[in-house]
Amino acid sequence: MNPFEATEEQKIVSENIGKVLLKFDEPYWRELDRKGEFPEEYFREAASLGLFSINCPEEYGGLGLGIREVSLAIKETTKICGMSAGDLIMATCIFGIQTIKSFARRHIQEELLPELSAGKHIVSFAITEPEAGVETPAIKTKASLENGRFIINGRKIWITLAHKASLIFILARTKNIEEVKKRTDGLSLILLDKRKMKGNLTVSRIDEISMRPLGSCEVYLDDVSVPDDYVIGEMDKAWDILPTILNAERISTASIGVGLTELLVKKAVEYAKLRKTFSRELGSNQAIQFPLAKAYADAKTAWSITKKAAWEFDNQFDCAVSANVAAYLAGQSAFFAADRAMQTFGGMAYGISSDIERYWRDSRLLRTGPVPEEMVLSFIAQRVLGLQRSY
Amino acid sequence: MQEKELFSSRFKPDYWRNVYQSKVFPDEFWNALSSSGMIGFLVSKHMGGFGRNISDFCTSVAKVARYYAGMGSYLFLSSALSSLAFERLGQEWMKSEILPNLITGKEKVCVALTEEASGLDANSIRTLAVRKGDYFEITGSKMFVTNFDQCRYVLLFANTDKGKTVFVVDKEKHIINHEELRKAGLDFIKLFRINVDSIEVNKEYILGTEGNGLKEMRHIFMIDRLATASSLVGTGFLALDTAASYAKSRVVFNKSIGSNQGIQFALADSACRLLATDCIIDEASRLLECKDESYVNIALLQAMVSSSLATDKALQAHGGHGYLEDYDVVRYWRDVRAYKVHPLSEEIVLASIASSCLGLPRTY
Repeated sequence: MNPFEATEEQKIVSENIGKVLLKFDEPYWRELDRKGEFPEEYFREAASLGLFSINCPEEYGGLGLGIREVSLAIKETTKICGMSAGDLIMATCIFGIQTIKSFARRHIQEELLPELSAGKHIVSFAITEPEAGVETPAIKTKASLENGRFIINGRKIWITLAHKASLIFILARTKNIEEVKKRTDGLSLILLDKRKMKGNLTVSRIDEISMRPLGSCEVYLDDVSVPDDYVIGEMDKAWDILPTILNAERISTASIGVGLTELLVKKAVEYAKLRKTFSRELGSNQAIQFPLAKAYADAKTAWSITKKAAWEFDNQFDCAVSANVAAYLAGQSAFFAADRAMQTFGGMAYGISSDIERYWRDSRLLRTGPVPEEMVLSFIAQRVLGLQRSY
Repeated sequence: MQEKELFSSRFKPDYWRNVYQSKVFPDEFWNALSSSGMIGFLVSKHMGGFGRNISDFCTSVAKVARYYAGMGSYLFLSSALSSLAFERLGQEWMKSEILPNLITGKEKVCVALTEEASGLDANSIRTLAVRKGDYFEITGSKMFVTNFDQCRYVLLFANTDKGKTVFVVDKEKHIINHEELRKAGLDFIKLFRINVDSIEVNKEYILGTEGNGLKEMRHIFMIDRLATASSLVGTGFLALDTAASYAKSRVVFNKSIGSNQGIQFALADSACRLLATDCIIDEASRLLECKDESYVNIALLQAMVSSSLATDKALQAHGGHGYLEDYDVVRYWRDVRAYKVHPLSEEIVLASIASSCLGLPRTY
C-alpha cells in the first residue's frame, strides 16, 4: 500500500492533459483575466478530454476513479494553465460529481452525473455570507419546507462561478439556531438545479483580483425554491456531510497550490537560464537559485502530503489532518514561489505581459480561501497538539 | 517487533537529562539497543539481522527519537548503517569476524571522512595511503569524527593511487592520535579531530574495493541522509509534544498559555511542517529502496529546516523555562542545530537541488 506510487490510470491522466492543454497559452488566460471572462473553449476541451468523468461512477459513464486521480488532474491543469483552469476541474469534479455521487438522492445522481461528466454544467458551492465567513453556523440564509419544496431566502457572497452556474449548492438553516442544541445542527445543503428552480435568484459579479476568468459573486435568494428531493444528505444534518466535501476541497486547493508553484518555478528557472547579466546567466547566482530550489522542494513536499491525503480519502481513512496540512503548505509555497518569480524576473515582472503579476494575484487567494491559514493552524493546534480552542 | 522498536521508550527525558548533564556515554540505552537486535535492522536475516527495508528503518528511527531519545537516536541509526556497510561491502572475513560483534553491540564503528581543509568537498581529501606490498601506509588528519573514543573500528577514507578507498582501521592494532572537540550540543557523544602517522594497514582491511570508496558507500550515505532526516523529525515532534504538554498546564494571566494564538499557531505551523516532512521522507525512502535518489536531498532539507523551527518554537512556548536545561527543549534545540551544518549544510543541499533538479548552473 504505497500512497505515493502513481497508478497506470494516473499516468494516463497526466499524459493526456499535457498534450492538449498547451494550446491554452498565457495570452489566452491573460485576456480572459483582463476581461473577467469565462474560459469557454478550455471548458469544452476539458470535457472532451474526459477530465470531468474521472470520478464519475462507471455506471453513469465515468472512469470510476477517485480523488487521487482528480487531484492529479487538477495539479497538472494548473501547472500548464494556471489557477482558474484547475479550480474549474475542482468545481465540477468535487462540488459537482463527488458531492452528488456521495450524498444526493439516487434519481438525481442518475440525472446529473452523466450530464456533469459530459461538461453540461457549471457548478457553484455557496456557503459564505457577509456575516458568516469561517463561522459557518452563523449563516442566516433560511430554507423552509412548504408543499414539497424548499423555499430559500438569504444572501451569499464570494461564490465562485455563480454568474455562470447551472447548478448551485446552497447551505441554509432549516432549523433556527435557537431551536437546536448545537450550533452546527439544523443546517441543510440544498441543490438548485436552475431547470427545477422557481423564484428570484439574483447574481451580482464582484470585480475581484484573483481567478478573474471564473469570477466571484454575491447571490441573492428571494423565495427561491426547488423540490424537496434536492436536499443533499439529510435535512438538518448538513454538518455530517460537509467535512467530507470540504476535505476533498482542501485536497483540491492543495493540488492547485502545488501546480501553481511548479508553474512559477518553471517560468522563473527558464528566465534565469536565458537572462544574462554581468556576463553570466542570472541563474548562476545563489541568491536567485537558492530560493527557487526551496520553492521546488516545498512543492514536492506539499504534493507528497496531498497524495497521502487523497489516498486516505479514497481508502476511507480520516484525511482531515493530511488534507489541511497539504492545503496550508501548498498555499504558502505558491505565494512564496510567486514572490520569488517576481524577484527573479526583476523589472520584467512589472509588465502585465510577463503574467507574473497575474499568478501572484491568484496565488495570494490560497492563503485566505477557501479557508484562512489561521483556521488551519487552529484546527491542527486542537486536533494534533491537543491544545484548547483560542476563539 | 513493536516492543523491540519501542525499547527506547523506557528511557524517558529524565534519563537523557542526566546523560547530558554528566556527559557520560548512555551505556544503558546502548545495552537496550543491542539487546533489542535493532542494530541489525537493515542487515539480512541470514546474516543475523532483521532484513527490514529503508522505509521501515526511517519510521523506526523517528520513533526512537520521539520516544524519547531525540538525537540520541543517532546511536541507533549510525550502528545500523555501519552494520549494513559491513554486510554489503565487507570482505568475507569481516562478515564473519566483525559484523556479528557490531550487531550485538559489542563493538562500535565511527566514520573518518571530512578533513579540516576539505569541508564538504569530499573529493578533495588529502589523507594518503601509499601501497607497500600487501600493506598501505596511511598518513592524514580527520575532523568531526563522532564517537571515536567509544569505537573500536574507524572507517577511514584515504587516497590510494587508484582513488578514494575506505580502510577499516582497528584501534587495537594502530595508534591514532586524537583530540576532543568541545561542541554546542549532542552531549551524549564526543567529537574528535584525529590523525594517523604512517600506520600500516593490510589490504584485507579495505571495505569495498580499492579506489571506489565514495561510489560504493553512496547508497549507505543516502540512507543515512534519510535516517538523519527521520531522527530530526522525531526530535522535532518530541520538542512539540513537550511544548504542548507545558502549554496546556502552564497558567498565566488566568488562562492556559496554550490557548494563546501566539503560542499555539507557532506550534501548529511547526507541526504542519514536520508532518509534511515525515511524508516526503516516507516517499523518498520508498524510491531509494529502488535506488532512486531523487527525493533524498529534498527530504533532508525539509528535515533540517522544520526541526530547527519546531525546536525553536517549542523553546519559545516554554518562556523563560525554555532556557533551563531541566525543561529539555533547549537541548533538543541545541542538538538539531548541528544538522543545518553537518553532515551537509543547508546551502549545499539547496545548491544541489538547484543544479540537479532545476538544471541551473552548479555553483560549487
